Amino acid sequence: MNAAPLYQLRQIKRIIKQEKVILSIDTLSLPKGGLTAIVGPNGAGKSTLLKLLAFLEKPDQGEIFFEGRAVTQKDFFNLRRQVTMVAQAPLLFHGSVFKNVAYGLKVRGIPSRHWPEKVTEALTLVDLSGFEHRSVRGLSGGETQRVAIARALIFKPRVILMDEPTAGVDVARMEMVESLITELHNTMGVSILFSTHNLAQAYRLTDGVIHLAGGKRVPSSIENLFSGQAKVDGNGGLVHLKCGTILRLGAARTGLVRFTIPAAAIKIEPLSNQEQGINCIDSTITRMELRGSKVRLRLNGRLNLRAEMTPEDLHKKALQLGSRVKAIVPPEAIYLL
Amino acid sequence: MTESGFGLEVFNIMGVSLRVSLCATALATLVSVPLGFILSVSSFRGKKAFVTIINTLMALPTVVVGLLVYILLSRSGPLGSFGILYTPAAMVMGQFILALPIITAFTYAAVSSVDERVRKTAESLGASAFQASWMVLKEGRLGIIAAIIAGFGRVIAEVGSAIMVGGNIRGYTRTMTTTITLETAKGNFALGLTLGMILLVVALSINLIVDNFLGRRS
Repeated sequence: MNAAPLYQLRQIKRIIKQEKVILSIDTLSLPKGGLTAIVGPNGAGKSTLLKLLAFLEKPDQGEIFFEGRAVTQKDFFNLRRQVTMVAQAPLLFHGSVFKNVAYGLKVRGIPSRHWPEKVTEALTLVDLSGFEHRSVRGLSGGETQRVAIARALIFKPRVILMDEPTAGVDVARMEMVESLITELHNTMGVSILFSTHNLAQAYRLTDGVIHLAGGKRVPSSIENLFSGQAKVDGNGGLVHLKCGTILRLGAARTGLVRFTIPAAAIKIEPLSNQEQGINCIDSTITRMELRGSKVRLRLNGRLNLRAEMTPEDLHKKALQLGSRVKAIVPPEAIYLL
Repeated sequence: MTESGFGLEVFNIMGVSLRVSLCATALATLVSVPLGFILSVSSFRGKKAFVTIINTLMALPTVVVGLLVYILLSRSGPLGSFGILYTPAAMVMGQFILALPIITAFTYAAVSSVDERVRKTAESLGASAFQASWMVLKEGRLGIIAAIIAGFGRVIAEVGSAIMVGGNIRGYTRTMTTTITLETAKGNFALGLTLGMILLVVALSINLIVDNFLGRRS
């Protein structure tokens, strides 16, 4: 059995208009059979990454490996028959639901006598039984999306990529899509990657979250996203934020910079701690939430931050809601975008 | 001429008109639809200029086309050895040239207006480049059929080229429009108008058939 990861990306760059880098990923490895979320704000490069993984676009630089084999343009056609993508606003072809769902079978040359059974099966999976002969014209947004998912499922792909499947949907539909994603992953054993803005959803549903910001992979959360004016100071740099906070950077920079601070990299100490310095921010814990094995904290102060720590650490430092703390941001934990 | 003889002659004229125009439109469709499609999906240097030329050629005067085909097919012309001047084949050739830019330009517009996600969606579902292109064509079919109808409308109604290269030979190359020209010149306005009405009815019938076909398809 091939033990290589499903995907491996190395030094990938996607460049538009000959100079603008919209995606730059040094390394990324995705396991087989995984359920992974790609999280990031608008313009983070989520859709671009999904298109590369779906082999709908090729990178301008770097290499993509699929199951350990370097992918070239010649492989795209065969790989597209194993990997499929459901777009954020899926497009259905003119005609009936049946014709749309059966399209993947048709292009694979599967005899038409097998289509009805498979179409019915795929539509049942997305809870649209009996929709076969409906015209796509009269479908609601939710039905359109489910037809698109059924159309992607019918040829039993090995990988399904979904671009923001729950963007702009109501709560009921979001729950339906979420349960469909987990069900597909658990019952069909298919590898699923989906992009989302919703960090809580990403952590709740998946076993791996990739954070993107400004076209780059960031080590953890993209929650603490800031910008400010940087200037060189000694061997390093300082960044002045609008709120008046000054942070020391790990690298010398000038001009406007955008950066992120991973929640896990922020050190939380009681206010009594003697540590002083430019990157120590006095804050108050205004929210605590247990998420998995970590406690997520909302810190309000001159700079509002999201941080996380273990329940044991929290207990040891006797911190609770309303506690005054020092949030210590190591310069090397500030990731410039 | 007896009434039945007249009816028979009109029937014959209509037959020549339809045979020549449908044949020219079919041949132009075979060339123009792929050309308009390729033009729409490809990018090359000078594409904009090429599209402008195609658009300009839509206004090509029929007599100019007639003259060009005449020069080509006349005994001393490069294609003179075929001996097809004053035959329906020469008329098809002229009408083919007239329909070509119209069908190409309208196909180009129709394919360009197809949502660009169609190709990506088809490809992501495992379609080959050809299958994805076919899907793009299918999604733009209403516009493409409109392009073909426009091409047919242009050639069934033209007179300049038909009279110059067909010669308006009774029972052989005489079409509806060339008959109208002839009868008008003879002062036979009533017959000219009648033939004009018949021409319109023929065009309307073809449009109704196509509309009905499209209505059922969609």
